Amino acid sequence: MPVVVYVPSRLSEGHFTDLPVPGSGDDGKAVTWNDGGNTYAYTALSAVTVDTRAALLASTPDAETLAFCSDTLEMLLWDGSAWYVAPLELIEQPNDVDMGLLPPMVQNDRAGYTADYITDKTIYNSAVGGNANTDEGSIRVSSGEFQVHLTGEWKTAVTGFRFREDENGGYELEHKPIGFDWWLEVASGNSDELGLNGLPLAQGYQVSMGAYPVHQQVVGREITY
Amino acid sequence: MAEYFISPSGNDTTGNGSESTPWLTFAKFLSSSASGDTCICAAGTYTWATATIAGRIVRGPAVDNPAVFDGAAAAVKWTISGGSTFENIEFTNAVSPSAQTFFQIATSSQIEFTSCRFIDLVWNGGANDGFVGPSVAGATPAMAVRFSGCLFNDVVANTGSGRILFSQRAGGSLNIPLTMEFFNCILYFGSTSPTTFSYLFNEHEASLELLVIMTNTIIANATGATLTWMPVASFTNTLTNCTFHNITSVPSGTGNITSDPLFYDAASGNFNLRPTSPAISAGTLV
Repeated sequence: MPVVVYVPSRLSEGHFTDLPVPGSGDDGKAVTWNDGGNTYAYTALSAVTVDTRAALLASTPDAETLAFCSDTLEMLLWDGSAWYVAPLELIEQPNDVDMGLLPPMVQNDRAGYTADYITDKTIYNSAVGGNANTDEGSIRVSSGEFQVHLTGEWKTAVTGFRFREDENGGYELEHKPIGFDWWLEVASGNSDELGLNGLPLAQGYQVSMGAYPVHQQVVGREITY
Repeated sequence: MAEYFISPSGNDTTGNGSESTPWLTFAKFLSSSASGDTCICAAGTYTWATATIAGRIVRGPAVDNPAVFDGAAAAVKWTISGGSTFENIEFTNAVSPSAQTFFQIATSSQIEFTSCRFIDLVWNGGANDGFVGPSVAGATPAMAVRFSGCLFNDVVANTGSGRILFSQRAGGSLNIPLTMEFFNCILYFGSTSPTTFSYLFNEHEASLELLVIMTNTIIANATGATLTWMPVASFTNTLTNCTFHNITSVPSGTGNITSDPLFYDAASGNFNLRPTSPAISAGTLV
């Protein structure tokens, strides 16, 4: 069998020595040569391996082996200790290419991104905006409200509530209506903000003008001004 | 963001500003604190003197038990900057320096008075000065002053021109945007000595740089003299659910009334509302 050796031009003054005679098991081995004083070697990726996805993932080839999944059309890389998959799937190209940049991505569950969904990801530094999608579970922010589309309508998520320790050490549920500054105790409708006479400025969700709110609730049997 | 304490029984020399060994004077707090620090005032009376206040929080004991800052009938001006807040404080018995304000607000400042009382004060300003106004120096960043649950009682003007309670500027030729907000306040004018104010607000540059937002506030003029909203109708007002009794040329708003608010006994300082007051339940949530 004839042996064909490619000699790079920059090494034209050198020469190969001790070329082994190829034999069984030599596929993928490095080519070495000597320029008269130093020994050099070419190392390269191993040959591309083609097999089914399951068979490839079960194999342990040499380091830096590229592989192509014949059944899922995925590209794989073995780094010597684990298989890695490129977050792309090869897509058949028609003879007449469509206008546009790229064909849409299709399923690649290991990456977690598809044209239809995102899975197993944590989102940081992002915001929810408007949403024209009214599928079950769609979310949006509209007019200062966070909303979820459930059972055919947008429903506002409950916000603006808190528990506050009262003067007796207990806790009371308070609500701050959207667009307002005051926190109101839910049961009584009283505000945390007090008038100059010590009464809440809002009582029973009612507000009087001025800095001296009136008693909206009778306390004991005494009403004072 | 340290917290310090002052008390009428404190001591500026032996105290350290702690709750157990408080200082005596507000001046000691100012000289010993930094921007963002808080002064907790025990109940009682303190000297109110001219000072520069940059980014401080000053808090009295309670809404119905304020710390009293007494000017001893002397001239007082506070020059305030940064994000300063004053809560449960009564400012009383002082005059403003000649042709100057009581509270001079620096540019880029957000000043808030919550549950404060302004009582027995004589404004001594010039034609352009107000009871509260911006600094005469600086560029043009916006400023904001907010009064929440505050009482102005027996605040009068000295003889002079202008006689404007709240001014967009304190002199000079400034175009500084100023926002003034009033929520659940009472401005009561009953005294005519030395003289009364002519106007409540003014914007001297006539270029929409003063914004007045007023909600649930009662302004009542019992002096018998004319008190006009503003000399020029050029700035923006958002007036909601307020009472304007005997005030001339009040801009239109929403839910406002002009009836007598029927205080229980304003002459004696009792500003609770009588059961028949039209102001009861006539406010709106804030």
